[in-house]
Amino acid sequence: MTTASPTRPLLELKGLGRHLTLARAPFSREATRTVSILDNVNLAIAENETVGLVGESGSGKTTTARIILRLDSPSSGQVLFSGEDVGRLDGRALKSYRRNVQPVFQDPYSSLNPRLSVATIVGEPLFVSGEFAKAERRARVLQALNAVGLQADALGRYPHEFSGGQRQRIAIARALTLQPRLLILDEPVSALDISIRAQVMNLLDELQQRMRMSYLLISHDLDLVVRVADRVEVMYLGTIVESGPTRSIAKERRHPYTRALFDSKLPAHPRERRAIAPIEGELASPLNRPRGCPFHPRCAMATERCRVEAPPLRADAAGHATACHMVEI
Amino acid sequence: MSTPIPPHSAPPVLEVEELRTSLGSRRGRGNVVDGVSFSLSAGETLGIVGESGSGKTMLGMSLLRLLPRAAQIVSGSIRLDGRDIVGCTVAEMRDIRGAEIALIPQDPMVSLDPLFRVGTQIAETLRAHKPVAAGQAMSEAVELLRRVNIPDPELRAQAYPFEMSGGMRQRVVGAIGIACTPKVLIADEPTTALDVTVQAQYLALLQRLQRETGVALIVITHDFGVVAQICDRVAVMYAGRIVEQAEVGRLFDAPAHPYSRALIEASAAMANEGGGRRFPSIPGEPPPLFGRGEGCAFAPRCAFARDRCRREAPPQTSAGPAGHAVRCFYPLEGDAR
Repeated sequence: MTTASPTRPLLELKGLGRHLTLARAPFSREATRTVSILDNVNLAIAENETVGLVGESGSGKTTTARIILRLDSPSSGQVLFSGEDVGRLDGRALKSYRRNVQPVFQDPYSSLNPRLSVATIVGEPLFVSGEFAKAERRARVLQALNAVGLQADALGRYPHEFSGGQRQRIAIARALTLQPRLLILDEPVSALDISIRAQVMNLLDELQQRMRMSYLLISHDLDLVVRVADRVEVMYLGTIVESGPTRSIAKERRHPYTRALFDSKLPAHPRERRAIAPIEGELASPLNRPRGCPFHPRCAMATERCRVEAPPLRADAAGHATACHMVEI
Repeated sequence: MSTPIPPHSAPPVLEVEELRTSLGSRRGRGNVVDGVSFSLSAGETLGIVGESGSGKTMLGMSLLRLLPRAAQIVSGSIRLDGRDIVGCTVAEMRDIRGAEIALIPQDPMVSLDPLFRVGTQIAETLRAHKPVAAGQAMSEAVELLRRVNIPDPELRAQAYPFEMSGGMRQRVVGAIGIACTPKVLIADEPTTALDVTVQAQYLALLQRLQRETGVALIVITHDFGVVAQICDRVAVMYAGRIVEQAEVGRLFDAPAHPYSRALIEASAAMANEGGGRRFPSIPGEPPPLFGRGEGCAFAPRCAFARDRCRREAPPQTSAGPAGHAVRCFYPLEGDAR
């Protein structure tokens, strides 16, 4: 994937791959197997940009996030941050990377330690960084809480005293304390109610404008991603099958899987009801990854070539890339 | 839009009247279901929508008499085919549940027993309600798997739940739900555990099963997309009460309660590709269960609330065409969009 952007991206994934070696069953004569979770993932996020990563469960979205956060390491390929190889960072440089890249997880019920007060939870990144005196930590915690719309009286309280929406605000405040340049948002609103989702998305938008952060928004919710992302990456079984500017993806839907995702959206009004399900079958397990194009068993357009040869991701001049034999570039 | 069934065209199989379920804890006691009334005919699909804490799952569990120990039905009636099941004994309920009113639970990962083959689990439900031999029950189980579109049902009946995908497990619990051809089937959040492409498949399956069996379906959901796709009528719940009930097209076109309207607008905005980056939101949070005030529970978040809304709880009144009812002193008029 080559974008026409002249400036260097803030974060870049280059040929990222992740394999797992399965343990051999006791007494089994079979050789150990390797399973591919991610395969040649390329992705770039510019300054102040929101990139949406969409796909169904098992597509490799969260593994990608974990590798970016250095909670997991790639089997091949690189993560570059401001041009530096993240895999080689250690000591102070790694600390500084971690300060710049902060996560917000899906479920604010499990991502906040129930035994710690809000002051401790939000202040923890500052404490771990070891660079701030107590008074400064407190000031920054307050500032972060105010930024997400919470008041000082939240400091001494515990997670169970807050509703889901408020907890997600606390998780966002924790991510903000070190003034990061990139937030990894892994399904940030899917655990929340509709009326609260909008509040949190609006908050994230405000914060991005004010603090000029970049976002990697990981979600299975196509509507949400199309609404807020500048670019969209569609993942299927560990590979990116379509990638490009949001408007162009939403309009053209070149890959049959992208089209299936759009067509599977539930109607917004009863008069838009669908008679039949738009696509059959489910995502295959990485254990029985189909040969050729990973999507071919579910694809109505699949030909003999799709069954044997995996299509490469090819981009057009506008940076809209598709991995499909049937799409002319 | 499929043809909606006009209200009361057939005698109702389920009539719920002024149902009240209370839940107690150290912090107090409150009504999780607070004076709920509705009725449902054979072949009809009613959506019960609400956010977490609105009482929609507690309502479903009350209908099945499967409430947790801390909760009890305190008043009201649930007439299933004319018989009030609120007064039924535990043993009577055991016969009714599964046979006349059945549940498709929310998370098939939790509700299927990991230690038994799925065929055995379906056969168990059949044998609990019908005097059939084990072999006969097993072949009926295979037939049920075929009806819910499981490929190679003979082979799959021998599989354990962990050997199946999420979508297949969801279809297995669907098969258990319809096993004894109940009159009323409650599907609790039928799509939340599923991926987008599989959701559409599962809803299509539910619709086909309903056409084949004529079961009355109650769909408990927080997703207006599910409502728009399969429901004939909708009841919107807030703080234990049904705040609005209407035919589905009517609710989307002319919601009368400010809460229904705000929710529909919020979910339509999420789905609107050209809508820009700001989402319309509802300020504030739903009220806590304990210490709900006297007035309308939505008043603190409502843009149209007046003094009266904070003092008195609004009764249910008609909002236009038959079957459209609302609990609001100042219902909205005109189109939402």
